[in-house]
Amino acid sequence: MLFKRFLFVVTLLLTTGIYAQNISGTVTSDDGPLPGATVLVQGTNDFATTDFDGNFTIEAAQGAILEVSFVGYTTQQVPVDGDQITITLALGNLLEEVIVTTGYGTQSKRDITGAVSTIDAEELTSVPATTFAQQMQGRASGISVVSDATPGGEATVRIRGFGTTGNNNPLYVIDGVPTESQGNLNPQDIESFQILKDASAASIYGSRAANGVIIITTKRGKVGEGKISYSSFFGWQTAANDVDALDARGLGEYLYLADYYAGKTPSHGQYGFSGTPENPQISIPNYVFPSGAASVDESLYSLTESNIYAITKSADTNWWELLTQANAPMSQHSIDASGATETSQYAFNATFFSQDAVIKYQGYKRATIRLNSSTKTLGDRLEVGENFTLSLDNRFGGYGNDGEQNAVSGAYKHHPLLPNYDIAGNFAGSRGLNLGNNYNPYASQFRNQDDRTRRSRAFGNVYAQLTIAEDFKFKSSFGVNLTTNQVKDIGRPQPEYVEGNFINSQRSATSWDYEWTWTNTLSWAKVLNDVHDVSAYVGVEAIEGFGEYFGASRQRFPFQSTNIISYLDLGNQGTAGNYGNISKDFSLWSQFVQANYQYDGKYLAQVTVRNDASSRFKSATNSAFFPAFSLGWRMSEENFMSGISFIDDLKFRYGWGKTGNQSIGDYNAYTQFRSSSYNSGYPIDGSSSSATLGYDPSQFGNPNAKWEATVSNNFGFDATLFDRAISVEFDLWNRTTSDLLLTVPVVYSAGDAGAPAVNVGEMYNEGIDFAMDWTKDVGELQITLGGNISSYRNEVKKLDEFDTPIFGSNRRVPALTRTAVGDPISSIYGFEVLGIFQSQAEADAWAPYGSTGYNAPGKFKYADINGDGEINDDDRTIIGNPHPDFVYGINLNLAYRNFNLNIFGNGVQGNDVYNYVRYFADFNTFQGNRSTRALTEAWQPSNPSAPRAQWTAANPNATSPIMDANDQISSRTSSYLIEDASYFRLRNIQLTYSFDDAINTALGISGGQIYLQGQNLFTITNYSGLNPEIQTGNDIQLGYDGGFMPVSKTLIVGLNISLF
Amino acid sequence: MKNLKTLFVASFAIFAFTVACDDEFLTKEPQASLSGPALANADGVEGKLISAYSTLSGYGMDGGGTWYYSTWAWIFGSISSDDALKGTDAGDQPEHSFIETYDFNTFNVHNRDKWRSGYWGAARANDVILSAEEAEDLTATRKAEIIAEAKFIRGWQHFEMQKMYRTPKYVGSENFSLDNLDASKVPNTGKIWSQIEQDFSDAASALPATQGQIGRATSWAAKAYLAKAKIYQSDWAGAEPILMDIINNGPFELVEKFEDNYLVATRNNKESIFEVQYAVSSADANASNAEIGLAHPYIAPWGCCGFLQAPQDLVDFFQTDANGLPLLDESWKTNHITNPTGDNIGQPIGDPSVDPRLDHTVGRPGILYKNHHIMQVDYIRDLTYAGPYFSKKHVAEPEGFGVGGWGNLSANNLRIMRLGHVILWAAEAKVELGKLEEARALVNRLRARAANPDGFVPGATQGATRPEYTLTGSPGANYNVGEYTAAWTSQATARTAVRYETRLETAMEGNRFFDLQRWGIQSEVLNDYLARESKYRIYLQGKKFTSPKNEFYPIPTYAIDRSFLEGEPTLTQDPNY
Repeated sequence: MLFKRFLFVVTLLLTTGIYAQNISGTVTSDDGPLPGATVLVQGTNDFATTDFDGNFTIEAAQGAILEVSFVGYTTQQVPVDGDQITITLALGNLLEEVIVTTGYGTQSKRDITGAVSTIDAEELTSVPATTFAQQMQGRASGISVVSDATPGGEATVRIRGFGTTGNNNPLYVIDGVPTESQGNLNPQDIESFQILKDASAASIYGSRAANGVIIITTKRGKVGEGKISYSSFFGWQTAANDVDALDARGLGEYLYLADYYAGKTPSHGQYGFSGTPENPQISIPNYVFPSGAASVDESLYSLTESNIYAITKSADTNWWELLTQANAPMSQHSIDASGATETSQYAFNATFFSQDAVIKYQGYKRATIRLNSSTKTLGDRLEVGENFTLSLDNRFGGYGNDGEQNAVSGAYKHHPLLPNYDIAGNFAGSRGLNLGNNYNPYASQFRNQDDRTRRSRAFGNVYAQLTIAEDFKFKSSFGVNLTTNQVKDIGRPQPEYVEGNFINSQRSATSWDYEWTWTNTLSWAKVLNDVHDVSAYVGVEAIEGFGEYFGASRQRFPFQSTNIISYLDLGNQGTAGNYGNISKDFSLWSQFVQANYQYDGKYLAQVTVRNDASSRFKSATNSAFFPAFSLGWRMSEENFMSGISFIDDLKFRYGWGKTGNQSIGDYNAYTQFRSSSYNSGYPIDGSSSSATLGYDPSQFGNPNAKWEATVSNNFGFDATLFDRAISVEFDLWNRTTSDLLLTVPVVYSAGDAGAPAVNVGEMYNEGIDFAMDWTKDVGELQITLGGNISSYRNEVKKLDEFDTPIFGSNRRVPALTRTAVGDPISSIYGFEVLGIFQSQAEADAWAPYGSTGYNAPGKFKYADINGDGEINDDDRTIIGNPHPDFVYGINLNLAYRNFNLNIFGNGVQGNDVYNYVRYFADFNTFQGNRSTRALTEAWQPSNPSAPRAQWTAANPNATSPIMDANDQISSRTSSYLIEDASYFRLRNIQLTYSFDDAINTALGISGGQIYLQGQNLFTITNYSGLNPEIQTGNDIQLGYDGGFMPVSKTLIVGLNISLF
Repeated sequence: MKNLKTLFVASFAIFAFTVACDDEFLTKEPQASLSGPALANADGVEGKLISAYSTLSGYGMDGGGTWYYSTWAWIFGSISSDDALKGTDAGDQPEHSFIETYDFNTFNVHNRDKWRSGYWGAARANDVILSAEEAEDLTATRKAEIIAEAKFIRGWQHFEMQKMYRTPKYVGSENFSLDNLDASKVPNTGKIWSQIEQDFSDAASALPATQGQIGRATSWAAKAYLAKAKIYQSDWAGAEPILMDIINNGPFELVEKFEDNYLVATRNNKESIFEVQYAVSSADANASNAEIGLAHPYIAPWGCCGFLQAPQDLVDFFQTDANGLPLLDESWKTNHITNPTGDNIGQPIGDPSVDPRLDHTVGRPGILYKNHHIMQVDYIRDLTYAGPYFSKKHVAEPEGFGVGGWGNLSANNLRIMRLGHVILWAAEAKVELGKLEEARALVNRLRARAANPDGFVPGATQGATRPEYTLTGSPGANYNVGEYTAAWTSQATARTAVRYETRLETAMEGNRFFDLQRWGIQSEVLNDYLARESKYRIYLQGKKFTSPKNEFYPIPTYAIDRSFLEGEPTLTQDPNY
């Protein structure tokens, strides 16, 4: 070797005639010295590698060209001039060199032939959020994310539409360990992020990949001296939206008119009514308890179980204002330490995150620690390592989305005449006439502030990788995902509530589950004859999961201070209950193989086959093959393209593949029976206190179920143009799910057990994904503009063998989402409102609404869909589509010297939402408050004193029906309650200042940044609810707004410091 | 290098091991649940029979609002008739309001769950019958009894369906299998009375006259239901001997006090032929009468929810003449009992005499309400909507109240078949068979019991706080009830008298809609009622009962959707819908 090198030097000397000398130098980047960079003397095989400080020495003659390269940076050629040289490398085009994890191996992003989106993790994590899933919103094409604005809330992620009626959650693979839970990981730990969107890319994960796969790699130490950095931010959040509710007088006016127009003499248990419908006079009593009183002997006040006399003055309360807080704090502190040598690396992080909700007494805290480390031994042939994270989080408070009595719904519905406190300073409530049946929403939040959901999660893997021979590697990885959950739910007396009681209670529940994954792979890679680049791996994987839960409760604690009521022991043993069961019990056993081939960088091919066997299916049907292939053609490498200079790189891709879904219950194959007092208990012996327990079927089994299979086609291209100023990714795709595991609607006469999943349905999705980035330097100003847009169409092709439509669940209204053949999944179903009757003549001429006598001036004119001259249930039709026309995200980055301005927004266009809140707020559903819409936009006659038959419209353009205290029909599900929930939201605007060297030196740090960030500063939407982002958690009941937490406008100040 | 080779070999050994454990690794049999084979024995069958009994309450079906399909039938039998109003406020459970106002939708969820519950109960009974055949350790005697009990339940549930729907389907065990979920997709081709009668007569011949456990069906209960089925078909001649057998030979006697049919303290009394049993304790309310839980006054201690109120019409109906007889001349329709909301229309009258059963049926302001309080309009959720009267029969007395977490739940059994009912049907049959005097004697037995002054609601005066009251020592109102002393000579008058007596005795028990149905007078009675009651309850204005459409409820769309076999629905909708 030495001799060979000597010969080269001699040759060099002879050819150049110049003596070589020792050159020393430093390779740096914008981020500091670059260790591990390669310095090659051009035309020779002579090279050197930079050390920890980026320094190198090499023998080269003056005038020789040094070629300096480093992964991810643009290679530079520098002539030798003098014996000391400093070379600064610029970041290269990411497309070119980025190595991404696409399964059990890695690939250069440039060579990918499937549909894979990569999200810049730094960009992603710049906006603080509870989960990484929320942060993905708008960041990549082909993915729709619906976030929960509640602190600690998770997000619903859908990749390329909806493949099934059951579980459409993607699979997350974190450092090689698969999991279906986003739960409480620290987004800061993420190094890279790949979304495998089509089956050709995802089929390597076989049976769990049908909904797409999201691969996450966490941060590792980089070669160089150890680094310690600290970052933190503080934020102030304020609700971005306000509820629309009447004040006390406005509600009085509404009630007067609603009575009057119903033909009743206006009267109310609290308000005093006089005047005429043209000029209603509303008087507000001094007291609402006793109802409507002008004066009361306040000494009679009593709030005891035997005598409830909670004297309460009337008020005019804005409940939303009372429930929310401006500038709710959020903050994070994070410490990173990382470093690496050529043989070992480590990365450590500890982060504490805390967020209060904009609704009082609600919040979230999370602490995480992570350690990734690895080391090589046996002459670098064996690498052992681990990736491990431990997280603890705590959601506290009683708020839950989509609840009739949650703080949002309470703010809409709770009566404005009620104060927060009664005359004795206790919480005031709805006892008293005609005050509705809402809990005092403030009292509810206050009383639930000690409710806790604590989770702890240990997640990670250990691995060993052995280089067996030059081209062969064997890797074994054992991963574990361990989760425990502890819920403490404290119930406090609510004696002021009209349906309330004096009972205190506590429920504690604990769940525990684990999954382990053991993966063994053997991989091989070789370049033959310089042009045939071949790589392949085979592997086996075993996964097992098990979980159980139990809970217990007691009532009637002697005292209700938090330290007493938090534990069961002091509660009444006679009022105890408990429960416990299995939550998870499955195993998977898989074999897989993948091969990649490329010819001269021009022609690319990938083939994948996976075979999975699952315990969820009986042995005859439990295993299945998931094949896939994809092809790529880099047209830009062809000779005939050489004249087209504006194209830097152009690659066409096509992929086909099959993926599976097995997200059904663990015991689907078995008919099961249970024994419970609710379902099967009967006091056959006449006991008045306890039931004899029997047995009843709880679940029908289907022993013949097998995998649900999704076949997808994807055609796309990637291009970089105009000297890498523009990069484009485009995909056209479809996917068909067949043998869809449908929970079939069972005939009622078979009994009431749970329906089994049966392979009968078929679902079709097609769509377009498009992403584009544009960069330009104008002087020192660096502009980067990126955007993505994607669209899908979903159609149910087949359901059970009789195509029985599937309805979502019913609330106070019958189910209104309908999944039927020929429609998109979860289409909204109901009556279509054509307008409002303007006169009796118009109402009489229209098809009557059964025998109800509904048709009248001011009432809805419902479409007679079947044309039978009568309005009835057969006239319901599809009135809304919860699926958007398209979703998009836009990102603009401006960098100028030490300043960086980032603006990011995302939007959803063309989706419909059923605003269930308006079912309460716009109609006489219970006796709480109403929306201003119900009063000010209602149809009213100009001559209310005239008989109804002679009424003429005072406001013919009214959008709401006439107020009518007896109307129970207008509130039926109709297009009136369907709203376009399109929105564009300015998610983030952030100005960052990076310290210059002078500051760094003065502070004694190696680098730092300070930034100012504004989140959700505005949302453009016509949606009338608090938040157009509706996450129902049930894909056959999409777009159902039962009261969701609004997003907050947040101002954040942040600081990042690298100490060393 | 040697180390490397060792590692390499070890790695493949690990591969091989993992492969080898394949089968066992991939078998996950259910934990925490029972399997069919585990229950294929006497204990399993007995347990399945218990679960079949548990369907009788109309409580315990997953995913259903329990009150929708209550066996008390307060929705489908009471609020859809002149017996009751929905109550609460206008916007509460509009699906109930649609039923109250004869807007019978095929999509109504409450109607859907009523259908579900009937066939749910029948399915469990069928499973018991099939399982009993297979359990080898059952004695022949017990097996026959078990099958008979299951047939009683199956007949009972199908009876419910036949009352509800013009053309229900009948599912027997030959059309049932837990392993073939399509097996029970049988068509509905007409009335199913013959199968119902077969179930009851099979049960009557195999069941013992008394049972060790009070909740089990006896041969008497099966006979009573067989007779009831015949009554519903106007098979008077068929029904009469069975009813008289029960009256003359059965071990049943009228309880001395009418109200004892509605109190927790007097469950399973001598008048009861079959009761739906309930149990509640502070730890477990899952076998309580939850399906009636919403139909409680809107005030402490219940607080929820104000459903099931009484109309003015029902209160007026209880007026009696000087002889304590009901106003068969229909003058009660124009003379109204004073209504504390002051919205009396027509001629309110001061203090007319009333049948004492009124105040056991209706909560009237000023009258003691089962010793809880003196009822006042604070019981009412929205006085301007459904008026000042509340329901009463199903509500537990204070001693039986509030054992569980939710005080509305109690163990107040539903006396779904009692001697009082049998006497009324016997009287009815005798009227139709021309045995008018025998009918009069039967009716008088009930009137004599009603006249027992020990059973009157006592008068009370209000104390300092709401729950306090003092008994006055005199009756709560001007009660006057007497027997029919004059001979019955006109069949029409006798028929009217028996029908009046039926309402007086069983009002707000969920029977009225179905009684009017079998009498074929729904349209005339209910439209007449709507015309009168809508003067008070103006939301009833413009509503109308349409015959024959509203005589039965529509078969739920959901049920038809789920009945497909070979591309066609096996269920056919009632042609009136």
